[in-house]
Amino acid sequence: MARLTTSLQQKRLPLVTRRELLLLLSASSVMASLVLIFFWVPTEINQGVVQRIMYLHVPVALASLAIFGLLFVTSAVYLWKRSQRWDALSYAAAEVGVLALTLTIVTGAIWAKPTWNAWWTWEPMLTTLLILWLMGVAYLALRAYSPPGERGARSAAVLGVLAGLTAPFVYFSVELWGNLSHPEKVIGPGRSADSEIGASIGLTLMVSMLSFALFFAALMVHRYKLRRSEDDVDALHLFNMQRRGSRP
Amino acid sequence: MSGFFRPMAAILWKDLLLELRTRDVVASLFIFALLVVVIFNFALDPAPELVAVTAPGIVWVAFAFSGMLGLNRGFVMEKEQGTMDGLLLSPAGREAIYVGKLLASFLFMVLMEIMIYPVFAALFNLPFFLPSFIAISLASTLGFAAVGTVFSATAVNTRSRDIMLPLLLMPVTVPVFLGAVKVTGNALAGEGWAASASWFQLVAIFDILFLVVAAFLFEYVLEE
Repeated sequence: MARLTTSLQQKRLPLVTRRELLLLLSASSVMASLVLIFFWVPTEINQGVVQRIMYLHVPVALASLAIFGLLFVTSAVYLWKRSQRWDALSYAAAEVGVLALTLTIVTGAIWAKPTWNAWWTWEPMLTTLLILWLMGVAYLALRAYSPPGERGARSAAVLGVLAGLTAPFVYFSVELWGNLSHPEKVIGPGRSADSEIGASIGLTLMVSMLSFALFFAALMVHRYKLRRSEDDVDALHLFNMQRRGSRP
Repeated sequence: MSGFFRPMAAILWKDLLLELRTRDVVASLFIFALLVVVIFNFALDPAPELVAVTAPGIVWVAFAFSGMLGLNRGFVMEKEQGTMDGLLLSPAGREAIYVGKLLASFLFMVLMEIMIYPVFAALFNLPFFLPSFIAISLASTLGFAAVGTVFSATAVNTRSRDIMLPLLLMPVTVPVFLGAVKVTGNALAGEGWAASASWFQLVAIFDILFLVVAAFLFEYVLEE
């Protein structure tokens, strides 16, 4: 409550807030990497034009894994510290993580169809990502179906920890499950004989990774702030209800 | 030590006694699992030479879905009768409540499995006694119940709790499920223990890790 009143008292607003600056920066760097991807980098010789989706797919996939890792850590820290900030961060991670993972799976499928002649294979990495996606959706469903407040936050954090612990087991068990054709690892596009082309592919991938890291960081910050405001509104609502209840 | 074992045994005994008097859970689990087996028979129409390939999947889908119903009962019952508060107010530690509820669910699931497998084996003309199948059934059911007890205590506090439990439990127990299906397949194919060794390792590590972590996390789910 105290935090809310102080933030309301702050009258002077800067021209561009730090959050807007981050969004602006990430938007322009994503634009820059799109220019690199579609106009500058030469077409990879083995896979053709479709290989260009790798410059989106790989950064988004790495971002989604990083965000799910963050969800695991923030869930554990929330259970330890019990501060609503960590819960808001977990929630933001779950939502942005599911978004990033959806993009990863869709861009991967678009690449896979012409390359492997199938939208999907039950390869360990793909299967693990799908199970992670299901766990992320379960997290959001649990939040949606829990009453607002600490109890829902705690159960969701427990799910976050258990899901994080099970992820490596899923990967190893699907690998052990075997009897599937292991496609070649797609991280890092095949180096062409020409070293200059190899370097430009590497540079494009690097710029794209940086810009998508910025983009998802901006999304995380926005979602986190929004979640904090939602928590404040919930607290105000509860406060009003209690006051009305005591003095009818 | 009596601070843990006495309350744990009391909670387990309470659930068993309730079951002995009503025979609700095990009977309904058995009928449900039988229904799954029958439906799968029609859905897959396994020819005799295909049975060994499809049987592990059928039997584990039956075990998992039926077991999930049993796990759901465990806390829904406490909630509906209002005995959850009594459990929480009792001097029993949270770990004791966890292990007591876990063992009750585990025993109900194992009982259901013991009842359904002979029927299944008779229906599909499979061997009745397979040592490695029995071992993996016990290990997988333990892992399933270890995670399931936490999630069923979670799901009971949500709206639409019946759909919540499978949503939470299925993805997290994928490794156990895969191990169970694979070892059962090896057992039915007549292979020895060596073929399934790494699966036993995986399921055993899963069991130990999740028993410890879940016992520790359980109190966060219960707390008011």
